[in-house]
Amino acid sequence: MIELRRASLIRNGRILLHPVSLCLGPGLVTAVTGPNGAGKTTLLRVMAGLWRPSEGEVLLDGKIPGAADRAQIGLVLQESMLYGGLTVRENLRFFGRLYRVPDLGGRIAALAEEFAFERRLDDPVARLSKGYTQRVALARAFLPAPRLLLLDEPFDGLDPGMHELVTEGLTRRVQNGATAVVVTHDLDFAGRADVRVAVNRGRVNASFSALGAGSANERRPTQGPGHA
Amino acid sequence: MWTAIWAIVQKDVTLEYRRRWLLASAVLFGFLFVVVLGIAYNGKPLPADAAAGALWMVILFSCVTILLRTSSFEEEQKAWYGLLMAPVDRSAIFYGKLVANTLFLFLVELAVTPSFWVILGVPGPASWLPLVVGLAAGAVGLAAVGTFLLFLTSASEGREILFPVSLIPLTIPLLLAVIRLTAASWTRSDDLFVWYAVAGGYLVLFGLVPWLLFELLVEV
Repeated sequence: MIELRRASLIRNGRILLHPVSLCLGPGLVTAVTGPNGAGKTTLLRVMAGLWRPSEGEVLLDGKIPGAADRAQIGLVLQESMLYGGLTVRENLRFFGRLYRVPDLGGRIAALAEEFAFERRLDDPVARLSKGYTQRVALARAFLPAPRLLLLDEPFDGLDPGMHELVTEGLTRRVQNGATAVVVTHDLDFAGRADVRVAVNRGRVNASFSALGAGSANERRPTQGPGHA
Repeated sequence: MWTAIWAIVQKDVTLEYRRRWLLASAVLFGFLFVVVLGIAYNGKPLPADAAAGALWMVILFSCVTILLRTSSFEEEQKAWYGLLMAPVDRSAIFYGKLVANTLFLFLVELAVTPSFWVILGVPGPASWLPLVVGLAAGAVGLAAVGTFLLFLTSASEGREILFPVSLIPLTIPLLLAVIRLTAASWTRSDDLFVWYAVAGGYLVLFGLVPWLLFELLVEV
């Protein structure tokens, strides 16, 4: 479960994220929508712990995440976060070693099969198309079987078939207890998400507290301090 | 932590082995510098002090090239964030990059230093110990300060200027020590304890400070 308690971000005197309180439990897909430059990626980076909030705090399972807790977070940004000069396999092996993924070879093979890039495993990432690079970026994020998935435009560059496959993979992981936060412009996906969060000019316009998987009726919207 | 450090070193070495731009350009620059210096001296042997200064000037500029290049490995496609999200002490990222940068810098030193004897007519070392210690301490020290500064300036727009401009003043004590050690190896000077101590103290300082501050720096 990830919780933001009045977390805000100010950089160079500019408010990038107004205070936001948000609590997302396991088994939920949250869609973050908003216009370009609204602060969606900023929200995701604060959630991931890449940017420390200027005020407030971000909690993972009720505590401030330490180094070991970062293994529970799978992050996909708009950039692939991969090394173009390394092959797909070398990239996944490198990050797998950093994440201490057990049975790394088997895990890479399973993810390559899931995202259909088995035949590109020994190709340098720099030579992959945008769609294949995105598949590998998703595989990199899913490598340590994280419980919190923070995905920024995960469908970018994917063909419709792969879009569906990634959605299925995401749903399967969420059904197994993961929490997914997906920044997207795909209104169809956002419409099907369990929780929808709209961001505009650094303000999170709506938030929900969802302490566990359940139907829409069981969810409890909150109007915590700092919400518009 | 050791696994993470080793993984980062292997990754940087593999990336450099694939492209081979980094070492080739640094070594080529070093040779060209030595050739131009040889032309300027017109075949006359270079005094030991001047040769030591010239050698470290080459290594210092190679250091700037190498470190800016290896940091670009992380900047392309923001792989840097992938490292930061790894469940390891973040100082492991610093030490991994430090070991890789030290290795690259030491290889440049090994390639360029003999050209001073061959092209510039500098006599072979009368005493090897100060030369070896100086080259090793210089490689580790420059890589440590440089790697640290690169992380400090990573968010700056004028990093290509800011990095060398801040590297040179910060490394003056180290450069002073390694230049004296290098010159002493060619002239067999005694009483080098103070320069060994300065180089050693510098390495301890810049080996430990990043360990203490790195987590804080990268989170801001």
